[in-house]
Amino acid sequence: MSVAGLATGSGAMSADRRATYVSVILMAALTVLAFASLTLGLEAISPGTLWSVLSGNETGDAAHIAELRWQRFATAAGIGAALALSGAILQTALRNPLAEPGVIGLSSGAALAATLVMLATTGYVATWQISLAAIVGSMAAVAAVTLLARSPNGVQPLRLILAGIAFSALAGAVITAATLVGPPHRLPRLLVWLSGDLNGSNWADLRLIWSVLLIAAPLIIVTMRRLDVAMLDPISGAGLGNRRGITLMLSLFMAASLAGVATTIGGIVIFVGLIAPHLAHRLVGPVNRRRMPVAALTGALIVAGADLFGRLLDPPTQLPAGLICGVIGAPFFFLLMRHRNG
Amino acid sequence: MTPSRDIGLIGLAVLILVAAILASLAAGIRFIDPFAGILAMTTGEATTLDEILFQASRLPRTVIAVCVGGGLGLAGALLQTVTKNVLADPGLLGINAGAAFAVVVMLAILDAPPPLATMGLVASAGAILTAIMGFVLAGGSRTFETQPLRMVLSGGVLAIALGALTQIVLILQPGAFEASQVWLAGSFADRAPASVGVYALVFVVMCAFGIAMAPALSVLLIGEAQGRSLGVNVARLRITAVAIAAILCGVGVSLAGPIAFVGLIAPHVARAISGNRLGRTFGLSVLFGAVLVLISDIVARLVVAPSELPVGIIIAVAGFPFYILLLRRDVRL
Amino acid sequence: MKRSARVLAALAFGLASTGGGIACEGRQVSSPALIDEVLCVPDGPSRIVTLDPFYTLLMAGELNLPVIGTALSGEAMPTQVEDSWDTMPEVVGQMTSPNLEAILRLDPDLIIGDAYSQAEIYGQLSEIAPTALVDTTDWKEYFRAVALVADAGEAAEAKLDAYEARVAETAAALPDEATVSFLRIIPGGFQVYVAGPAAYAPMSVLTELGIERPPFETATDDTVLKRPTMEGLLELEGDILIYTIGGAHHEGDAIALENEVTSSAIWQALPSVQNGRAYRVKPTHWMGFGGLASAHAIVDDVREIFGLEE
Repeated sequence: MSVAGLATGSGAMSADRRATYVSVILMAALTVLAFASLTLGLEAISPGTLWSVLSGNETGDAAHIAELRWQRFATAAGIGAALALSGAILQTALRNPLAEPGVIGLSSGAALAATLVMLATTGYVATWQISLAAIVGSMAAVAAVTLLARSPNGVQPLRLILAGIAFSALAGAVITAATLVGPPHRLPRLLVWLSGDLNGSNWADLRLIWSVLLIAAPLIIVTMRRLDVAMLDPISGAGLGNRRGITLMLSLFMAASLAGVATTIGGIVIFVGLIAPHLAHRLVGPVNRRRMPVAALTGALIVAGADLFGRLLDPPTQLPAGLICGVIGAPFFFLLMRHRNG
Repeated sequence: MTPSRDIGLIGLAVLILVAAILASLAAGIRFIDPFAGILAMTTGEATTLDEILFQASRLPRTVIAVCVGGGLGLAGALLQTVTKNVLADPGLLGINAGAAFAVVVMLAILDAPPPLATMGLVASAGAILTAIMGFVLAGGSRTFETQPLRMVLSGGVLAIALGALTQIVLILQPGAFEASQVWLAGSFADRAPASVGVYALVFVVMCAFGIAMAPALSVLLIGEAQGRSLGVNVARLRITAVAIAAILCGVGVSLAGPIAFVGLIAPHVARAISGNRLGRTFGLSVLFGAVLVLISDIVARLVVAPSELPVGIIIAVAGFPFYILLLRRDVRL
Repeated sequence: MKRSARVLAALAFGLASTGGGIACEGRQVSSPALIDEVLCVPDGPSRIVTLDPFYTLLMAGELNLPVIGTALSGEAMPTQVEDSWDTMPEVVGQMTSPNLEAILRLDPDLIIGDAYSQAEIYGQLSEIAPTALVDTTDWKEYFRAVALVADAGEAAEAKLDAYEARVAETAAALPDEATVSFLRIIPGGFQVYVAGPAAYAPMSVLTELGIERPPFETATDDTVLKRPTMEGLLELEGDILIYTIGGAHHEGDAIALENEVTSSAIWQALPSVQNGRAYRVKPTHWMGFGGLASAHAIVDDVREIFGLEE
């Protein structure tokens, strides 16, 4: 079906309405997931108790547990939204339907930089230093991979993916080497960080990811509208001239920041930036104005869902959301691949 | 290309392999004259320290490097032919990841570290299953025909997913972590001279099979339909080629951990010399894979001697630029 | 409406102010081995949660502290605990990712953990109970820090004194000139734990006993272990070789692995092996070190190897 055709002309109105419906449904789903995340765990909190916690009448252990669960849920949702947006931005800016922060090596770049900072510096490394390194690393990775995959005709889609996969393999090898050569007593912290579990999510993480999302939102709206124009109408898009270059740079910068911050907090979470925008595409079509919010909501659902699953699977052991996304993402990817082919 | 220049180039390639083997036999924490070492073997028991080192470490290590490198090189050449994709590599196609996952699961289940031979079997099984899965998921038809790029993509995705699964197993069963940490980085656990012979035998047999398939596979390269009209069972041909590649990978992984890029680089260098004659490409892939791994292993054991770095890391660092170069040269992309 | 939105936002982002600093009702302790300069801990804690199954759990056990919960590494409780404790502490997840809900549910009055493993969740742990994260590579300092926060300093010093006396007595009885090599064989390679400033505790115990290590096994920087090749084993020049197979998790039969290594000609060429002085020790204490009992077990092994009567 040609959803793109609906974007212009008389179909626009109904497409907008459809996008609104879809968003409302997804928000309802997210609310249900939030409710499940707050109530389920080692010890269930009954809806009644939850209500008294929310209304401030209950301040004991139940309130504390609810707080922990909320921090985790909201951070996971933020990470999912950030990765989905990062993926959607990359797909639009690079005109590559398969671009994704994990697959094109952004997350690996972040992890590599953070690993080197953690193992190479002496003394205790503060969390903000690790975050900064991760953001710089992811930006360096996106720059390196796009430059390496560039040809006279622009950045070729498949080249970018293959360069990204190879870069991830390289970064993985260097990280492994670093863990073998580096001081063993620093390893536990590194391994905890690399595995990317959301166990330690606290208010600071939650605020960090959501402030990045809030800052990015208006920028995304502006740049994506331009990119939409460039995509749908090559002639007027070409007319944007130099500003298209700036838009592209800004897009990549935003994608790297979103993925870098998400990786700092949640470790390498792969496939979400691919699945969420594609599901959004199937639900509301390719126009970013409609696709972006739906993708963000879908991403939030996926990561928060994965974290809840990792928490409930084999308690008290907890599995990192990133690994769960890596496993459940693959079948999704194959489904997408099959559908696009069909 | 004239025949004489052809033979000259192949002769040069063989010379390089011999030189690399001799260098690998000689280099280490102390220099050993490889000729003296070989001579001593013919006279019986090792007596001097040099002779002991030669027989207990250098020789098995060199044999392993040749088997692993040659095997991965041929595996890469087979996969590239079957998938019709020059970027196919057992590492990047997820086959190594499948073998590694199988081994880690086994390490997690067993209380005691298993003998190397068991690891080899399990790794091969994992490699074969993953290769089949890659084909099926890439939308392979019943004749195991796929679109070249989809195979690479589905392999890459499988590698990611299997990597994540491996990590999950290691979290749930951290006892397996230490045992597999070095091994997962790709390293020569060079301490089982006894089982090296068995591996060498498997390697030689599989290589012979693989190279013998060249004429049949070159029909495939001309075209599916032509192949069928010539009476070739295309599906069986593909499955056999992939199975051989997977066994070579499984053996390689169980010996040295998952090593990427060898199966990519070796066939490319081979093709540059052989033109498009498949039999020659296969043979030279074995040769260059062996050379690449031999050299990387020499580097791996010399940089931090008497300790060692995993050889897989050296190859990854060296292989990445090469991969990018190929990627940029590929006109279809 | 606006007000309720503001309240909701404050709730969602944790902006509502929670109670400020409360005066310390227990003891104020400070030690360079803790990541806090000053830490407020209860007098005689009665409900302790430890966050790793090695140092913190086993040291707490040696001080007879009331441990009600612990994080593990893997599925199994350490054999030391399994064998001799009356009631098993409740498992609160893996040491790399302790389950905060599980800890909270136990309602502890003190949490003891390791700085490098648990720093990321320190803030959240502190909100559950006073949390001491220990940050030192010196096992005796570690032991003292655990004792300090748990209000068991005197017991700790008494035990350490007894240990020191035994070490001094053993050291005096050991022959001066013998050097000792130590090797760990794992599937996939070798590890040599070295003596030096950052040495792993069992190696520090050897050093305390006055045992010399060969040059390859002595570090001046913060190296903890080296990974030699098969050839590199020849650097293990000690008159005596102590080796162990696998790790703390592989108590099972590792004979196949041992045979593979010990049958090789390089192994046979080692001076210690040629003199019949290679000894296999159990990995329980050598690779799963957990405090005084482990240190004593290592001294036991050394005494047995050198043929000293108790």
